[in-house]
Amino acid sequence: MSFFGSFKKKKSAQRAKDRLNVAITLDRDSNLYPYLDELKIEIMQIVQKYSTIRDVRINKEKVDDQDILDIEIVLEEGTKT
Amino acid sequence: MGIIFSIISGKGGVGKTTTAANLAIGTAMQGKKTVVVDFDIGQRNLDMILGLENRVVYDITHVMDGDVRLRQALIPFKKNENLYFLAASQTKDKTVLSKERVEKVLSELKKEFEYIFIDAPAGIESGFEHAVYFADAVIVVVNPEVSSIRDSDRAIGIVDAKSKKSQEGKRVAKYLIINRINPDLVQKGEMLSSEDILDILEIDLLGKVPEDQIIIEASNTGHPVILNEKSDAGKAFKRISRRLCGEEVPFVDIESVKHSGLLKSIKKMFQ
Repeated sequence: MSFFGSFKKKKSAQRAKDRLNVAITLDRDSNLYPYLDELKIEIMQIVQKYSTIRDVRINKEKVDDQDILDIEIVLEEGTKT
Repeated sequence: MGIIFSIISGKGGVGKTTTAANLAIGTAMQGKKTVVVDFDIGQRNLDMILGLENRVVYDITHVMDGDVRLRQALIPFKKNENLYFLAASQTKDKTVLSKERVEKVLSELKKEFEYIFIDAPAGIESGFEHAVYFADAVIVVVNPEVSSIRDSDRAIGIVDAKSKKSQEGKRVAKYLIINRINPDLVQKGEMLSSEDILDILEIDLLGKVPEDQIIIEASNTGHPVILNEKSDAGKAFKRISRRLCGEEVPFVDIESVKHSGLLKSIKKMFQ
């Protein structure tokens, strides 16, 4: 870094790049599974046939280039499983 | 059989229509039989940019409705005999486009022309999907600023999901044109460089076009900038057109400031 540069803020182009990298990664991620909300509702409907359900949590993961949907079904407290 | 290029962008106002007009004239200047089609239904603009607004009698909707033959709706570009233009309709009803109707017109154009350019509506508009569905390649026009870049990534996502080639498991070629580059700002670190933009979007570069005040004059008069031998933007469009015709044209470093004067050399002493 130059003598003058060390006193300056980061240039705006660099900030733009950093911000865009984050925003676009998130955009791409959220567009990867456009059906997630519907999936969640359908899973709830199915589980409700058998038990009382509090929530369905779906986590998106990536392990070694493998896309994983981790689905967690949370039942009401006191529900027999 | 011709090749269909769809000129797309994420948001509007980045120079898509100007790019479509100039590239079409450019390939026509290279001797290719070319047609440029305005697909921005309800927002006809390409006719103005080409200086052909007084010549439009029939438009693409008339052709799709079977009111007239394609030949009757094609408007010759006075300044180059290889180029024809097909206008968009000014109707507000964008549902006039349907996959079958679009395919029929495009397959007819493919028989007649070597290069078919589609000036698509912006990525969020309805009608966008029709404009990219049959594309052999898409040309993404982007400005070096955050909203344009972000939106174009989403438009590219739609192309990847919705075009015919993608759905058949084939790859749609995608190329990037960076438009309105201001070399001074890039040098100062206050504008994203083309390298940065390519890093972010991860697609191939087709060309860089500098900001050029003559562009406004060109659209004012309906005399596209590629016809102006002296214009930097015009030269850039000419290089891109030659690339589209298969020529290997080296990329010009338009981002380096030309006037490396005294001030810059003094600055260098302190770096």
